[in-house]
Amino acid sequence: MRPDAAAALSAAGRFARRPGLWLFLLLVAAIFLMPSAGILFHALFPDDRHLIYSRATFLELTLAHCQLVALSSLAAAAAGIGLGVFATRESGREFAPVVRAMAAIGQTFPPVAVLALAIPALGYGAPPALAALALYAALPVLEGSITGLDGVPASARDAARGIGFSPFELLWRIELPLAAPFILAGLRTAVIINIGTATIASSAGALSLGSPILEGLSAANPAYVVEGGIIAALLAICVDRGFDWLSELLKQK
Amino acid sequence: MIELRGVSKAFGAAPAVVDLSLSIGRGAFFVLIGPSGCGKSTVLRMINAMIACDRGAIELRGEDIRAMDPVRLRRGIGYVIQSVGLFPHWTIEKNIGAVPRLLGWSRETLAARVEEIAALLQIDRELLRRYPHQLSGGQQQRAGVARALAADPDIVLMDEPFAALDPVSRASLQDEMRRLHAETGKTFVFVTHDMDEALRLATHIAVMKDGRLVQTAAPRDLLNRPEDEFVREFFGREAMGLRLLDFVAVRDRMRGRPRAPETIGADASLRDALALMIERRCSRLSVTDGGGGKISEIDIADIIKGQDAT
Repeated sequence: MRPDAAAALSAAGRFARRPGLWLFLLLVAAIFLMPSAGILFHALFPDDRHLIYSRATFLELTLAHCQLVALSSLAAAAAGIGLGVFATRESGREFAPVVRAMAAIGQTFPPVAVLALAIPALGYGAPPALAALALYAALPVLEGSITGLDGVPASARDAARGIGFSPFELLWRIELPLAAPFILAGLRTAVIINIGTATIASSAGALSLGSPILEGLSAANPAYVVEGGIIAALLAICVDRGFDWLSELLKQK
Repeated sequence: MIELRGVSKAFGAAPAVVDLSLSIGRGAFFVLIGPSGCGKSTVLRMINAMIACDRGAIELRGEDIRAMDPVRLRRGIGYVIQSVGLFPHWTIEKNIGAVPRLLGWSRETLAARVEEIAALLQIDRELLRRYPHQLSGGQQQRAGVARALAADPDIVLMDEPFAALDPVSRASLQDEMRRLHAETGKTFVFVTHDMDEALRLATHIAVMKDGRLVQTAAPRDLLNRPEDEFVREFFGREAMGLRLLDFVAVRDRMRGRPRAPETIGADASLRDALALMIERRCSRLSVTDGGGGKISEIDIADIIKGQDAT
């Protein structure tokens, strides 16, 4: 084989070994090319009806979906890390079991039930969806935070205190950096769960990738379900790859 | 430098330290020794306010520690523990510079200081870029000591720092501590349960038992005049005489003209002389000075006599 051909082949190999890039391109293609896939859907679902969801563009749906996930995950991260820090302090250690139990109960509530309960209080639209998602995502972040902070070697903590780290400096410079991989793993689980769960936000009237799915289900139009489902799945996979990359980055540091 | 007056501390119902008074002078190498659970580590951790005492008062440099901010207080005191406690996510260089960075030293001052302290403790420059887990136990504790000394504190607290090391690393770090103490004149407070380590390093030894002070004395006085059975027992009864020989040089006992064929240096200890006699199966050694010339002689009887008088 000629050397430049071999080089091109190995470059192609390197590219192929970065599935994140492929998947992201696939996601972008799915968002923008879905409206042109009418022929495909007509072949799959022989039907005279309109087979491409058109109440909103898929870009709008995806962005609204991402916004729901981002806001709820941010709230879950703040609550999870904050409670995790509290539960691992000297003064809060006795509350650790209570905090864990509360978060576990939060996760046993089906998100749909939380949504139903939140609607009377928060009205229709994004707010009840955000509340349900945040409640649901807080547990993995909390678990990751507690595991990570508990895993900080006692000797490092003792030495830091002994040479004059203030409690905040100990937390910020020693404990959180050492716990970061575990917190990130918890956050990853939370976000991925939320991307899937955010589809039910549409049942509270919020715009999301669940909108075509719900409409497709109620109108017995499987094409809509497939359209929303494909993009939501690709989004989840891409974000997961992103977290993979982040944790690699953290390891190198 | 450090004054403890009537200090008591109990953990729950169990008393750890009972009405303890100690005075540690500037520049002392003060060793707290006793069996495990005697309260020696608690005393150490009360000095830098990691543990608050229930009763009594502790003064550092003439100031009551309760009046000081504990964080600032600790930044002025070196602290070394048996488990080292290097920060696993930081390089050795960053670990050593931890306290100066907290104190807000400039980048240049900090870099120069890390270089200086690494040289002082004979830490290889290439080790500075590594992470703690890539170092041996002895190297890690060297870095631990370097971190404690980085901000140039005048007091250094050490809690059984070498107990977990192999004998070779331990001996070399003990030598390092003796040299550091002699060169810097800092006040060391050192906790150990190893009596040979205590005798080797200390200018003063305080023996503790059940949270109380049994005896405080210079090493040689402790061996010559143990306060009670406990101290005698702790210092190894039978071996006490041999340990005493460590504190007398051949120079102090030599007499007469050199006739024996085997030789020993004048600055060697009586223990070395006795060991050599046993090994060579002789009862006399010629004593040589620094240049190697024979200057006098020592007899086995000279080693044995007058032990009580020293």
